[in-house]
Amino acid sequence: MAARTDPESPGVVARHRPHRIIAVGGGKGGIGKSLVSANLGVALATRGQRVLLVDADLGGANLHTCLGVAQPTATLSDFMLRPKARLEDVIVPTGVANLSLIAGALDVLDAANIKYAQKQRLLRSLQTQSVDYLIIDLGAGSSFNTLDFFIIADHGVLVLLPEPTSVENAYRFIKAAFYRRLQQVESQYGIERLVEKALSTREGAARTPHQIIQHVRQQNAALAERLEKELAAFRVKLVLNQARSDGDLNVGAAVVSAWKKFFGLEMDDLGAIRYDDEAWRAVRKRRPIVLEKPESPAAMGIQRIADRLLALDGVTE
Amino acid sequence: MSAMKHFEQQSYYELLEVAVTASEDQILDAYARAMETYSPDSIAVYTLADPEQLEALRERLTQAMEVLCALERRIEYDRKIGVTRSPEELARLRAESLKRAAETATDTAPANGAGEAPVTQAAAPAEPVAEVKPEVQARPATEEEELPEAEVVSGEVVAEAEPVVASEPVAEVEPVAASEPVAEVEPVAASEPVAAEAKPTIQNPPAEPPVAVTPPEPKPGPGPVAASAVPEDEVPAADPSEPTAAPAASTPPSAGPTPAALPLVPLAAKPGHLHRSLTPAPISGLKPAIHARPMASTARHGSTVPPPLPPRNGLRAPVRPEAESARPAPPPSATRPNGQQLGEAPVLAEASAIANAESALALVSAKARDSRTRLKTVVDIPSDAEFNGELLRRVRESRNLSLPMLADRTRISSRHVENIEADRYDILPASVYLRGMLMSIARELGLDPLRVSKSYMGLVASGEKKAR
Repeated sequence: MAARTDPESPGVVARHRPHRIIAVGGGKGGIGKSLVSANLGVALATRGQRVLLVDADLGGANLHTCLGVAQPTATLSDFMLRPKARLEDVIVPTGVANLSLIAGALDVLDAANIKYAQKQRLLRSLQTQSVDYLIIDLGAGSSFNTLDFFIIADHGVLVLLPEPTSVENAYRFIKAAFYRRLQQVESQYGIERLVEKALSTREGAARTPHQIIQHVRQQNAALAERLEKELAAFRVKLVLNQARSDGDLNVGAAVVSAWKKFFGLEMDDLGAIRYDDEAWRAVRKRRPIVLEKPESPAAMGIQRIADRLLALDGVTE
Repeated sequence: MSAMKHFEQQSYYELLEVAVTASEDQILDAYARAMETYSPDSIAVYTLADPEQLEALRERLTQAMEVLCALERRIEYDRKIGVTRSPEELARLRAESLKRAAETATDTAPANGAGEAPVTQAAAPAEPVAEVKPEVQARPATEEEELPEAEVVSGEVVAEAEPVVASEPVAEVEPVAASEPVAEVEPVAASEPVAAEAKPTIQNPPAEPPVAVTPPEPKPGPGPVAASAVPEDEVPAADPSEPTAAPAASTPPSAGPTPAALPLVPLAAKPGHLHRSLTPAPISGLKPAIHARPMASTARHGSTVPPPLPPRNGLRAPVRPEAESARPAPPPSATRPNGQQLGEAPVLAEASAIANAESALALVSAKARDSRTRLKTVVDIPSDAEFNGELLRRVRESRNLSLPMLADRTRISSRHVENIEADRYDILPASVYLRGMLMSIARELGLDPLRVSKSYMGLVASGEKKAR
């Protein structure tokens, strides 16, 4: 998702940026975002990639638990509360080679409502980490604080369960993320009002990218062309979690198809993770599935997703 | 730009998410998938699209499928949207279309042959070929050898097998199948539906054979048989008039049209079968007829068919001798010269394209044979039968498939399957869904999806009229 062009981050820092930022969201709670983040991190780390996991679930952090890391000594809140602190100061090891962690803000009750300036500082700091992959585990909901982490990512990963509730939240989430992304560029295209409506009203939200581009085209065709290119870069990666039947395995492809037909944008289906009792027992043991039960269908599903991501990025092992 | 099209702006190919080079089978698969994805209770569209949008999309999808699965309409559509195809690709598409049509024909053919009546029908064609009964015995034998799958079927099957055999060769088994007699008769039947579906023009070839048959021999058996077989298959296809009417009558007009390359090309592909079938038939049973037929086939060859034929004949020749020595010789001689005569480059190009297509089709044929074998157990389905729920149920039962199993495999709720089978038209889902369901069911039962859905939807429509 092409949001590297943060005006506030000077070009000099570019060298130190993580090669790729992956943000894992999904709108709904309890759909396995943390599990996907943790295991994807492990899977990438075991392939030799340097990975930093960030628990940005500002309201209900528990990524450390998924990894079996004891109560972390430093957390994100240490960074946020101390203006002088550097992000590097709150990174803790995970026991897995190449994989480190920034644990969530456990103790700041209102961390979910961090101030704009704090958020910008965090975003900037995240973007300057020099690792191969920075994986941001997002919280539930579609608040701006969540969306803003999602749209700075190169790979916005949307976790989905084959259930109506999850699908509903997922669509709401990506539409909100899309319009939030649009908001960053709205002034260039004179579409502030459209975006405002889309973000605040139901009818507005029903408007599709195509219609917005049509609107811009009426004024300026060249501009519309540019906007279209920009919007086409909003390409969410889909992960279907807890597939219980063979039919469930097709839900990802169906969502990709439907998103294209009704919203007009492309999406990539990264793959599905099988529902698997054995593997879920690993969670209970606070161990990443890919390490605890590498042969389980769920672990293999995650490995395939990691492979696909690396392939998308052109990384060869 | 094309990047952000919604379905309203998508081409038929984009709608179905297939390449412009997609085969009919791929298109039908894609259609089935799409109908599942965009069914009203599909989770993937929950809160993304409202019911009216979904309905509109499904209608577009159905329209897309119908156009892209009728080759002539597809070509016309391609022209409209600016898709251009190389002659090779066109030839391939034609070959595929013909093949599918032939499969459809075989699907129905065995059905015809299943019951008692079929047997007689099957027997009749055989007679002309050999004039000797032994042939009949020969068939079963070949069948068993060739088709291990037959074992799967029950004892009854064996008895019913003959008709099936007949049909199989028609499809693409020919090279494999040594059973010439059988093959010869059926092809005629098989070819016709093909022709009808593919294009009006193609009708000529199919028509010709019957002609040859009728005039030549005093034997009432073969002539009528062939004629009757043909019509039956045609019925589903398109022209109701031709079948019943004397084939002879239809021939003359057909001869005239001998249109351009279009119809011919397809012929060339499938044709292999057609020709074989056509030529042999005359040779075997009807000697006077022999002259007439070769002529007919020659004419066709003259235009395009030649290239593919020679090899085929070559193959054939050896095969036939094994089974029956007498027949093989004549046909090759008759056809080969023709083939060689035409050395035009375009023709050759097409021929090679067709050859490629055919080899690809050979792969598919395994699958097709599979479904055909399953058909052996089929109930007696008259070829002009309307596929009502009752018939679908009997076909299902003949396949030892329980209703829940069928529902599970097609992912259609068993309530719907039950209502479909019970012909409860008034409580069936809306036609857009129903059509997709019928196609899924038909495919699972090894029937022709398009034929079944059209037939059933016709019944539903007439039922609605009555209700009003």
